[in-house]
Amino acid sequence: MTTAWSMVHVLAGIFSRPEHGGSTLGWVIGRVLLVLLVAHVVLIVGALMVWSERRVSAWMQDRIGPNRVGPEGLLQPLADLGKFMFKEDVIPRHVDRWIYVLAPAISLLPAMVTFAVIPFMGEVQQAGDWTWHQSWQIADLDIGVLYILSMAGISVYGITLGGWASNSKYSLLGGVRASAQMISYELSLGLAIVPVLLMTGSLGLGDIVRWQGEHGWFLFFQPLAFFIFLVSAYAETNRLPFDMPESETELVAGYHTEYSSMKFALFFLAEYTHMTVGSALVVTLFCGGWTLFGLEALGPWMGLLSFALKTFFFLFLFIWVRWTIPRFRYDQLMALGWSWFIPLALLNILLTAAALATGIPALLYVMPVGLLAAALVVVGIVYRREKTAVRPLAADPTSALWSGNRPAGGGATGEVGS
Amino acid sequence: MATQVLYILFGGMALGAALLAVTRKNPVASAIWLVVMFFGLAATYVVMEAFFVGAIQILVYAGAIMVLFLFVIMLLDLRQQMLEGKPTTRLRFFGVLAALLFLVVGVVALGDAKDRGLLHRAVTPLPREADIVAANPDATSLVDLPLDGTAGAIADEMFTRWVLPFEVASVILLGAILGAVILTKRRLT
Amino acid sequence: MTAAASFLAVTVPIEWSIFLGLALFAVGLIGVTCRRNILLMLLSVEIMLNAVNVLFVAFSRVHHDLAGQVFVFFAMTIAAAEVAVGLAIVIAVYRLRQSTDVDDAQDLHDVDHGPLPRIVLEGEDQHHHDHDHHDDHEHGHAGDGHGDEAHGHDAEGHAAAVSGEDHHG
Repeated sequence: MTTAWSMVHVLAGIFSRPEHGGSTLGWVIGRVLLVLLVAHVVLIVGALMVWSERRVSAWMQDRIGPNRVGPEGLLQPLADLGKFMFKEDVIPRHVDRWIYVLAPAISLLPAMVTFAVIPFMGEVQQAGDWTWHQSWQIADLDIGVLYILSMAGISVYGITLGGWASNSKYSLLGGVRASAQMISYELSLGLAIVPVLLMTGSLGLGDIVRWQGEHGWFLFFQPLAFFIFLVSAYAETNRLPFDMPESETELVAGYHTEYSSMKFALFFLAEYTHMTVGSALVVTLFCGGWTLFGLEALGPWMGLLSFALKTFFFLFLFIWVRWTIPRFRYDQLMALGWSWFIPLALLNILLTAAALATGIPALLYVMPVGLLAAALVVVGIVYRREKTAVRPLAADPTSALWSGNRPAGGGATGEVGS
Repeated sequence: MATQVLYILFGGMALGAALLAVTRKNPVASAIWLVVMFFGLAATYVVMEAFFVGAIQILVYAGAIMVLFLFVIMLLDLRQQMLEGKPTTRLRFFGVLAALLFLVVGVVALGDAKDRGLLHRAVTPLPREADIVAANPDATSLVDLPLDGTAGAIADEMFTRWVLPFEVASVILLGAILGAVILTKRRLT
Repeated sequence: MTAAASFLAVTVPIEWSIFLGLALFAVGLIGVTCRRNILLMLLSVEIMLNAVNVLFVAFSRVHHDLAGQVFVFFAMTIAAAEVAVGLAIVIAVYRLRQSTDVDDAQDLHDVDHGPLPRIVLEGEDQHHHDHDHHDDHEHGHAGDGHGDEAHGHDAEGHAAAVSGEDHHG
């Protein structure tokens, strides 16, 4: 009897606040269970992504890919895990030990905690003739977007510190590149969200999804913002075409050159977790979150399904892009961020604000699409003009370090600045 | 009750991290401890129910300023510079003395003020949103409600009473950008 | 109010925040005075700015006036600007001196760059050399840091004298 009672309260606590029903203890236990559940799902999705990346890339290159462990090779992540666990954990003697050990954990953490504010399912509620979308998430912060941007800002540390602590020139270059790249794209990431906030009038992700449930996805209102956010998310996760920090043809393996065994696995997992979170964010901010053109009214499971499918689509897009588009050069990456995305995002904000201020709803539909078209035309013209011109090899920010004598490619673990 | 425990926990964390940041030899370790301090302070703000400031603290300090610091430390590769010159004992002695005196004077003044009963105030809980809505039945939107500490309320304050300082701040930032570019560029072409 | 809400109710005495602010400021002060690395000094200044922010937030919450929290926002803006310019200066200084130690960057103060380049006139050569040797001899006896300063002044005096003679000639 008591057990049944407490089970009910714990279950009630998972999706309700104590003010609305359920006991405080049940609420706390329910929340903890929910956090554990979400964390595990995120990690398992990350592990599955490792498998699907290999399978999808194999499929794109007309190979088979891992198919030995389990059905269709689905248990391959487990085998990889076993391999990582039993591999010798090498800590080179020249590293900065504390930071070296901490860095992989630091890089995984921000990605995982971001999931706290993402509404992964919800239900359509009715009171009288008022219908609204009630999102379910771990914490519906009213500053959710700021929280996300903060965590995006913090995710730089793992890679940067890992690169620094390894005390090897390739790692250091990878770390420096990562910090410059991620700071730059954080700006366009943040600026791309602003039009969304202008239109919803709220920083809470629950409100943003609710708005989209009632009015339509932001993908259609703000295609340019969507594009900038998506590409910036790629740069933030350090995935190809923006994988400067670990570009293996230039930097051996970049920031994780000196890492092995489980520490390397954590970096690896962090990258896939960042991908998962990035996809979930794109879905939440621009693709209606768990809503699906009214189908979500069928029940909470439909919301969850819709959210999961959309997220998996964007995860697939990550892989698709990685195996399709070659790596940018560093100066191209910086030019794209600073002289294209940031001005365009600012213009987009200006236009959206103007459209909102004039109070003509039609403008909201027309202006962003018009801006996207104009941007595409300009990009096309510039691209055509630049294709013929030979561009000088321009600066890596790290070249300031060497002032003339660039690092000669020496041993894999050469000392920095020698 | 829980709030007080949390406040002491996070405040102490911030203080300890600040001390460590100041005393570490390795500049990167200092930077990391400073990040810990920023987190401690952000948590303190959240405990005091200043949510917006807490988020901005992480966003600006931990997410931007300290990354810039780390970037510069790595760019200069300060590993060889770890053994910085010792300041003269005189400067060191008077520095610590000044800081301790400052602290002692502050704490004594604080105790005196408490004795005179000047410090009867405390950070009290914000009214809950539901209570405010119940108390203002004729309000048509959340904007009309006195919701304290939320982003909306702070924006309201910032863009009405403090518009001019806001604009001046943006000009200062512009100046800082120009200054940083000019200082670090080897030659302006 | 439910049990959870009252359990989490905020009643933090204002003196705690004041103490936290004071202590952080003192720590920052120690950092600024006791560290010679410019980066560490900038970090310490950040600690001091944060100490003030704590007070702003606490008083803002106590007096139910959001101006305090707005000011924290401005303080952070200024801190960001300060760090940007400060780090730019650090990089500029590092390029000149290969060091981030503030004691290495005090050129306006007395730094011994060795003998200054001087204009040597025909016929005047021997006389100056004699004088120099005399000076160096004196330094050997003086044997403390101030000798360098005296040397510097002396050299300047010579340079002035030489240029003066130049003028007359």
